[in-house]
Amino acid sequence: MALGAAQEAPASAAVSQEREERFGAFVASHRERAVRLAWRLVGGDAGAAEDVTQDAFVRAWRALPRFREEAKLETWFYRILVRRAADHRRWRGVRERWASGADPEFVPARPEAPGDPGLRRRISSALDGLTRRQRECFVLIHLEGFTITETAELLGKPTGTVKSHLHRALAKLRLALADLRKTEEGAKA
Amino acid sequence: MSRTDDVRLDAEERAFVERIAADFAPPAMNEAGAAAFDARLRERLDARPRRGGVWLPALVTAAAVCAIWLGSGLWSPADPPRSASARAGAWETELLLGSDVAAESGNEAGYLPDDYSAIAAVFLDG
Repeated sequence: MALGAAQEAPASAAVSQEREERFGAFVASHRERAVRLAWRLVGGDAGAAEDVTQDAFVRAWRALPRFREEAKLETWFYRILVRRAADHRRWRGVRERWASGADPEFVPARPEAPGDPGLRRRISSALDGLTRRQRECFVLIHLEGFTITETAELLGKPTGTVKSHLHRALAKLRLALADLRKTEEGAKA
Repeated sequence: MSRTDDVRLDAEERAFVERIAADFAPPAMNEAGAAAFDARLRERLDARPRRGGVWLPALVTAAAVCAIWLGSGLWSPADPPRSASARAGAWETELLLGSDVAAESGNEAGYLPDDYSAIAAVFLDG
């Protein structure tokens, strides 16, 4: 019995070490993209983006032994991240409705995003005007560079549905941010 | 996941999308930011609750609340359902006599549905 335990311990430690290394590599290769995606999905809230991303990584750590293929873990991880971001938006809406007039929560100082804060708020507001699926399709494909096939797999929707959401999202945003297009044209002229 | 250009956009649309991508992005994560992120993630992994860590206290609390509620006497079994004909009978009697006879007489046998009356006759009167 003692011999068995002595033999098992190094094997268990090796498995644990392998899991740690695999997870470390996964975090290192997806950290920045995941935070950026979450940031865009939650509407530019850095604290919420980190919370959502870390929650997805914690779940990935737990699920790691189930996935031998890195590609499948990756798809699963981003699916969780997108869902957690949607949950966050839903709960934020509920909190805002109930806490109207209450003192705002303390938010720790974080580095300011680059660019014009006013324009950032306008883009965030225009994205708020989309449906959840339209926003997810637009952010994943146009802002984060996922393909339509990858996005369809992440969202569990047919590619035709993703294309339709994407088309509508772009049309709505062009309408909401029409002056941005004019500025672009003016800059070119 | 690699970017493949399977989305067709004209030049104007592409410029519009690129403008949004450039103006709606968080600050780039530097090495210190990445290290701080990893440290907070490590804390979170170390502090994660065990399986059942949330459910067990919730279950115990719910059981305690139920026990207090049942013991307080606030709970009482619901009245047995009464048939439509019985309800109509009580309503007609009350309307004719101008008082709640069923409540005052103490004899409710006449206001019980037939099946309840039969059971009462067997177990109470018999």
